[in-house]
Amino acid sequence: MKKTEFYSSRLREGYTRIEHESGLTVYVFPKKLTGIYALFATDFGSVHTAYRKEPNGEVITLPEGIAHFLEHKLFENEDGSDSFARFSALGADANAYTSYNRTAYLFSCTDHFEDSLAELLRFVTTPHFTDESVQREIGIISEEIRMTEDNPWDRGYQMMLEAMYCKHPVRLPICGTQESIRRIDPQLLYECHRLFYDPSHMTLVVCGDVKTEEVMKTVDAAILTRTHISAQRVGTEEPETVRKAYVDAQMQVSKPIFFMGFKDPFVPSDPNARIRRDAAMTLLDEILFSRSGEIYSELFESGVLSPTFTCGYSIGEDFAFNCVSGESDTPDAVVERVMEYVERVRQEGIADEDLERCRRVLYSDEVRAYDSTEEIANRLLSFVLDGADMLEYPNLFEQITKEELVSLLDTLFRREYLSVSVIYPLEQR
Amino acid sequence: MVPIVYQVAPNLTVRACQTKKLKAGMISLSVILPIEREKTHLTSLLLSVLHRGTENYPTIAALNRRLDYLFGTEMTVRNYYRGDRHVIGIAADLLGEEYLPQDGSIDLMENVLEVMREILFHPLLDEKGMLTEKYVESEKKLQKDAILALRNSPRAYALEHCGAVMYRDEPCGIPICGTVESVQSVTPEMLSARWRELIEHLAFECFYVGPENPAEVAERVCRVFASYLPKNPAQAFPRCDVCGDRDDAVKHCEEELPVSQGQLVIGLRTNISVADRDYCACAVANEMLGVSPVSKLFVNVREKHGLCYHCSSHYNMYKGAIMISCGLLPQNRTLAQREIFNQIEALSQGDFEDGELTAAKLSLENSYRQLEDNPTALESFYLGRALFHAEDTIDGCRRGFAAVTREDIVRVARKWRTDTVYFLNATAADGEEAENEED
Repeated sequence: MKKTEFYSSRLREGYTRIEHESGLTVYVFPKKLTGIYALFATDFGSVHTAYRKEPNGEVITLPEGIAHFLEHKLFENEDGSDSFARFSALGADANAYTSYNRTAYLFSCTDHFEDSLAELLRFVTTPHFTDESVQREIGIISEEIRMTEDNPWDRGYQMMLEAMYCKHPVRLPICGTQESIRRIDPQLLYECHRLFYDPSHMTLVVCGDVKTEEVMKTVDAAILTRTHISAQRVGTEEPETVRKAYVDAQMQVSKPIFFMGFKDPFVPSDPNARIRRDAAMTLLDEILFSRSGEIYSELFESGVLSPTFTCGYSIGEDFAFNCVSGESDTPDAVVERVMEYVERVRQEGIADEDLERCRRVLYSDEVRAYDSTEEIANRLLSFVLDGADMLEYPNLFEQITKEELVSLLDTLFRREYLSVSVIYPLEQR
Repeated sequence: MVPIVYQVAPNLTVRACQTKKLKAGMISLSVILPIEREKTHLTSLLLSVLHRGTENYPTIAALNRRLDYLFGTEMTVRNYYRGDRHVIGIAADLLGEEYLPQDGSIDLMENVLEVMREILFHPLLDEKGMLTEKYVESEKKLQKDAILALRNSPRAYALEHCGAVMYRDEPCGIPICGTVESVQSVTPEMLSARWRELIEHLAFECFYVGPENPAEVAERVCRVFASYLPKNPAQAFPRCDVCGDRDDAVKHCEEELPVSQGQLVIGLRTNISVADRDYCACAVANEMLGVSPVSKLFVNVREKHGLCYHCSSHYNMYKGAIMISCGLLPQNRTLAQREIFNQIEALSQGDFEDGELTAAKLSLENSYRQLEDNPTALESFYLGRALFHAEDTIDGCRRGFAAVTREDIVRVARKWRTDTVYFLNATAADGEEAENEED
């Protein structure tokens, strides 16, 4: 059992990483708040749709949405009980979510922490599926898909991803489709669990007023059996440029909603470089698109843009994109104005004052993020799955130079990397 | 964690909770108003216009740059109903001093309070002393957009429309942002008059959570605002009561939108508000009905029948009402509706396991204990209670939940009356609009 400590004197926070003999990696982040939050996650997410059992073996393709389907079904136990009920009896609040690169099971509690943790480790590692319950789940997930489709923001975002990516599975909806979920059966779910829920694929993160020894005692007592099967994920060859420059649809919205997706063609393979790119893009987004910035101010004050304007950068192991979205009666004009503005910044450079101001804001945001055990645990999980140290992140904002930002702007904000997706009202296009 | 209350001026109450556990504190100023058809939409609009620009920070960029300088202080507008009262206000987070960079030797709280004062008392005025026409017109457009944008979320749309039917004869049935027509008719003169009327009569409720000494916080708030507040105490509000519909007939309403999932909303009157003795029992009963994944609605409507993804209930403790909401295919509506009513009936017949009661009590215990980790939730708890003159504490509520018995659940569930059944039909349930693509 190898133990490593991480600490930031600036944030006055620290955490411990323990590599357990079962292959599981455990992170304990002590925090003197009332709520304790635990996450047990596998690195299997919606983008992992193809694998090989052996090197050079046959490529096996999974139905879209299977990671999410598995997440729903794991709460069911062999004796017919439901793990939600077990957590409830302990006063803990359990839940789960699936994202591009992970599936996470979680609970929050104020009491009976060890019993809840034992239940979390138990139910996630002991699958039980029946034909009947899988059939019922199809009905439930089918309604979840409809709910997402009726949400214009979700729909527009999804259309943007599909326009940006040709092959990469980040373009697939996390819940799958009405068709793909009907191809899922108990056998397939067992197979995915066997391949991707091995302790070596799993991470446990606990944040709250707990001691590492308490956590490890429960981990030691849990039955974590290694399968020693290592399925190899199959990557995709994704072109640098986007699949479609423009896509639109009509829905029951009151005014057009637009998404500008900039596909990042250069995703570093080194985790530290990826985190640095993430910090640099976050800083650049703040400089370019924040409410204190020139473009928002101009478009908002002139009545072209609604206050829903937002932006964010997403980065995974082999994909990354920056998304700028909002509502406007004239989305085409906003897109053009944003591109002109970015071009001007490219030529004129970034003002020192803007850089300093945005560094100050982002540093403060980082500090604020340490007031919630839920937020800390989820962020820590994101960082560790990407192989980085969360406590180092705030320091990056100061290390990143103006030249680095301009070069990033130069590479990313190009027409050939841009996909625009617009949701128009039914009565207008 | 119980706030210490200071009546620092006739029109200024400060409630302060001291805690060293958080890196960022919070301070807010709220004003509690009656809900009035002629004024409420004006007040909502005014709040937005005040945030557009001030004497010293005349544009949105200038105001935000000032907040950026104050370590990215996030200033949020409060505009909501608590039962039949309209609560407006402004809140800001405050980064703890020990985390400010070395150059940050500024009094952050004082500076943030000054920005709040600037927003409320020194808006950008034209030469005639009126709120700037440009900002009024711009915010009118945004408020009309916001009213129309309700249809972007079918679930929120259904809940709002069900509420409008249910509360049609009560103050909270008046839409907080008004209607497109009422907003359209607002002039800068009307809004300026509303602003003057408000600042001449307002009474502030200030709420603070953070590391500072409560008495010092009260003093600072007083220093910044005392000279701006009216000298005579504002008229005190009578206790906010649940004025339920006396009519026993169930109201039915059906509408449609071109979406793929229908929305069923059922509004119940519990006739039990936060100020009632039975409040804890009613909260536990609602928890058993439809809050958690072990609730009756989740287990039966979703898990057993597989009819929906979400089916849940929300207890509006300030109005004594429960809203049940379920997203489903239109053809499953009858079955789901019957099943929902079966579950309510089961509660009132005592048809539940002891484990369900225990789980609901523990779940509320868990969420109430965690309130102290979250300044905004603490504020909501204590301000909400103050409004109802219910001088309850979090620990008091926890004891109340623990004491709830099976008989209490049956008794409160028997008081529940169905008020409104609303259904939003999905007319695009089977086909979708084609997407268009261009290279």
